[in-house]
Amino acid sequence: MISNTYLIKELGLERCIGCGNCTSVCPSARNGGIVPHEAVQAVLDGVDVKDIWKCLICHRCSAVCPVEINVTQMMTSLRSVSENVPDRFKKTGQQMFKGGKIFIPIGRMESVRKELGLSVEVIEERTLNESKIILKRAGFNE
Amino acid sequence: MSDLVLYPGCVIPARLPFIESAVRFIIDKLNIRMDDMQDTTCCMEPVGLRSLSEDGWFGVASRLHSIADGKDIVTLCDGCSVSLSECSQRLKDQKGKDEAKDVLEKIDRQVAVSEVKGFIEILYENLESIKKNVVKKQDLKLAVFPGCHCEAVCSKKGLSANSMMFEIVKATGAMPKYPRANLCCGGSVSMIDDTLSKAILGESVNSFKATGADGVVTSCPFCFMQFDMVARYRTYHIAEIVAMAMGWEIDITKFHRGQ
Repeated sequence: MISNTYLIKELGLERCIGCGNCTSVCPSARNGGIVPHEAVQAVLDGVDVKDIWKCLICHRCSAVCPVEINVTQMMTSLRSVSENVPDRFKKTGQQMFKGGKIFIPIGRMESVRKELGLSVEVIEERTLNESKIILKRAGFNE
Repeated sequence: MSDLVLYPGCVIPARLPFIESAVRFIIDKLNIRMDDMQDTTCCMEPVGLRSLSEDGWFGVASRLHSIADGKDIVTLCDGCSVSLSECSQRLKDQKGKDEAKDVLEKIDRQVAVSEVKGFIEILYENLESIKKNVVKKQDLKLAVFPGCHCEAVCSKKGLSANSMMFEIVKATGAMPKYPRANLCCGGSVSMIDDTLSKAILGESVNSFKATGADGVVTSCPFCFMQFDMVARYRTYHIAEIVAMAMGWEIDITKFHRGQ
């Protein structure tokens, strides 16, 4: 289980100097979404981080951090223990588990692929089974 | 046999196959030796799926590395680039190797680690060959927007995605234009906070227009869909521009929605 204490130690969040560089480059913050430096401070303070699903996982925050905190990884880790997973991602998770891919050519796209001279891929049973074994081990289910 | 394997991912083959067609045309035209990766699944992309489970992501991505068996993986999607290159970093540590071994043993596969290259890197490495193969100069002014994930992966390697794309666009005869920095397509928050998503998307498109460009060129399929399908702005994938310059004759207006 990922705790705040684990994140602080593993990602070196105590190095944060509160410079706000992360926020200055964040397209989400600029448009009213998550504020990265406040999110880091919230983890340090042991309080819930607001708006984690409004993070774009664009990596811009991590790229400009002068003390090399991987803010993106912090967001990903917080999301992985969130109980409020958006429906969009629940659906793609189900699609991945059932079909091995989040997008599969269907309907018109199958004929477009043929028209373009591209093969229509079929996921083999063995591939899907391997994927399911890995995902079940990680807590996924039907 | 080649030292490169192609991993097309999910979204391009399923939703944007014309981009795959352009990529395969370029590979063929430039005589780049590259085999298709077999038995692939999704990479557990970094925005949503990886957020659901770090262990799930690492297991699935490690399986893809096992299949590549040490050959360089060429990705067409920048989400795949992030997913597989971060897995690659982790597989280089003993702890990561041990964790991967535990998972892969369950499916009778071995741990292997590959380097990961986005298709833009392949284009940049073949810049001189592209120039020699241009038969139809692209008379376009294009705002250059590699995409956040492309920039992130390249910058970790000490490469500038913007500069590489600038040179590739120039090689096709088109005129590259720089929009403002730190933009995003907003796709990651689409269907989560649509107001926020549209604001981020609008900010980018306005910046592209402000450069005086005819359209935008990107290397990311998710950015492509946001700009082309949602914003209805004239959008090209970098592979399309290069392929068109080299004589690819697919009518992309049948597939694009942006004006």
